[in-house]
Amino acid sequence: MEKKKAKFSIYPYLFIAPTMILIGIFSYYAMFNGIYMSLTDYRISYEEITFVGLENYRYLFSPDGALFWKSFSNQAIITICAVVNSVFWPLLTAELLFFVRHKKIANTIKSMFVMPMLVPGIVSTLIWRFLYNKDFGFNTMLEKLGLESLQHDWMNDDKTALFAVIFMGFPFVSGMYFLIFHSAVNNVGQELYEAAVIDGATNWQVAWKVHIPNVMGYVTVISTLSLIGSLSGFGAIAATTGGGPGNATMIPAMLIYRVAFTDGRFGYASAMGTIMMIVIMTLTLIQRKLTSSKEV
Amino acid sequence: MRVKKNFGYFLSRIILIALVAMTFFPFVMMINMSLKKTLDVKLHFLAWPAPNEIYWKNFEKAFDFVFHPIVNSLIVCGISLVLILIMVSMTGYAFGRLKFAGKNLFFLMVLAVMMIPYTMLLVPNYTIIRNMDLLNTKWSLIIPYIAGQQMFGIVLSKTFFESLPQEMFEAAKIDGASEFQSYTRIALPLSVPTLITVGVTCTISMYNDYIWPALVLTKGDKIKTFCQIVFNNAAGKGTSDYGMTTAAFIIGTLPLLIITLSCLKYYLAGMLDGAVKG
Repeated sequence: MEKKKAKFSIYPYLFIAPTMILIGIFSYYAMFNGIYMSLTDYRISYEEITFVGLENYRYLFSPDGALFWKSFSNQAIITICAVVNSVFWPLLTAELLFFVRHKKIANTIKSMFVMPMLVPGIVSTLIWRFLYNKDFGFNTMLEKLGLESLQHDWMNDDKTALFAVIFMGFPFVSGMYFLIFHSAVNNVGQELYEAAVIDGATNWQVAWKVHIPNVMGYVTVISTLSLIGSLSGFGAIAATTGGGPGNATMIPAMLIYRVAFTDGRFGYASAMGTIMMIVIMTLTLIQRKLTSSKEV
Repeated sequence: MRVKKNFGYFLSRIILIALVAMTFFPFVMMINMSLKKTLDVKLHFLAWPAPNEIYWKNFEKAFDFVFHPIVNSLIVCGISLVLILIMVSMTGYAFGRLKFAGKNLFFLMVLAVMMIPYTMLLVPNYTIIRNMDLLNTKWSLIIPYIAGQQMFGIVLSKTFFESLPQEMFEAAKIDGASEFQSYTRIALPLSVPTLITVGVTCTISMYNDYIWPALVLTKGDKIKTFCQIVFNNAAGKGTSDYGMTTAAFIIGTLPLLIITLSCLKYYLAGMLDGAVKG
């Protein structure tokens, strides 16, 4: 017969060991190594690593590092638009869809918004890039409408490039944010809706006075998610403008990628990475604090 | 209930239809472009080819172009997925059901990983993989994916395992089941739907990745993944054969579409859960 279990068991630790080891190496060791690298002149080619102290940070704050800070202003514009777009359009659509009372039609429309989510991001991004093309795409449509004067080489013109990057993905409905709002709006409840209608509320009033106040919690969650997503993602820019033309669409993450893997300056890139990490963590913590004080 | 068909009713329907149409426009154009010769894409962008004029050669060329990369993507996703699911369920089980010293601290460590920006880790992880001498092998993708894709799954499965009734496990213990048996015989089979959710979510994000593969798979086209070659093609201003490229997009989307649609219910549930809890 087996003995009664001892107080200390090794089992739980064996269960979590593989995960913790991998996280330890690829997240924590990597993160601290990144901070350490930011204090060296490490390059992609195997050169000797020299400890240079805060030299990379000094460089970053000198006029030579100006591009990094300039890229933050692009990032700010992109992020503000991203947050607004990921709340406004999905919520609007969820709201409009709520008032389609025909169950079958409503479900079909919902599934239609799910479909494009299943297309790889790079594919959607590149189709948009084609649409922004000089020779066809939106320019063809402008021509058909007789608006040749509005034609642009959208992504290669430094006046329109940033706008083109922000507009990419319009109307921003298809995705998880829409699904969250859709279930939120519907969870507010049939009863509440019917009660409001019996009291003589118009649809407009239902939306503003019943739904919106009740989904504010989700608005906060989605703002946080899209804030973090927009700050750390650079895949779409890497696949379209690459930060150009000039540096019209340069954002910090793209710059870090380029400095690290095109210029090969790992040390300097890590210094920028460290600053970006501090910025993102600070924003996340502020956001969390605001959220938790509002709810719970 | 009666619906009043006033001005607002029609306006809201029109906006909704417009939103659907605009969402689909790029994808409709993708299909349109894939059916035409590149010259026609440029000259008659908005026109649809007549059925007998469809230029199927695009798909033939695209198939040769993306077949191996798709297979590579699926192999990498498959191996990573199996290992991720094993680790996620074990870790989630430990956090959800077992008692041990330091549990909260370890769990906090898992959660905190989600706050480290991806960009910050690119350089150090590249260095690690290079020091392990794994550059230009499938493992240069698989190992970091396993390390990086678990967090969401751990949170989800921990929540699930916590929700299971304690009596079930006590009954098993009385019947003489060991700790490990309670995990394999009771917890694991019950958690299959949760694991499917985790699996679909992870597969999508691994299949869609192109930044990391573009860094670690630089030599030879034999091991590159689908999204990577599409990305390389775009970044290198590569081919301007739009018909072939869009046909390649369609072919490369199909595996993901099939996988996700077959598990759509779990996928949607997971997305909603993850977003609200995470």
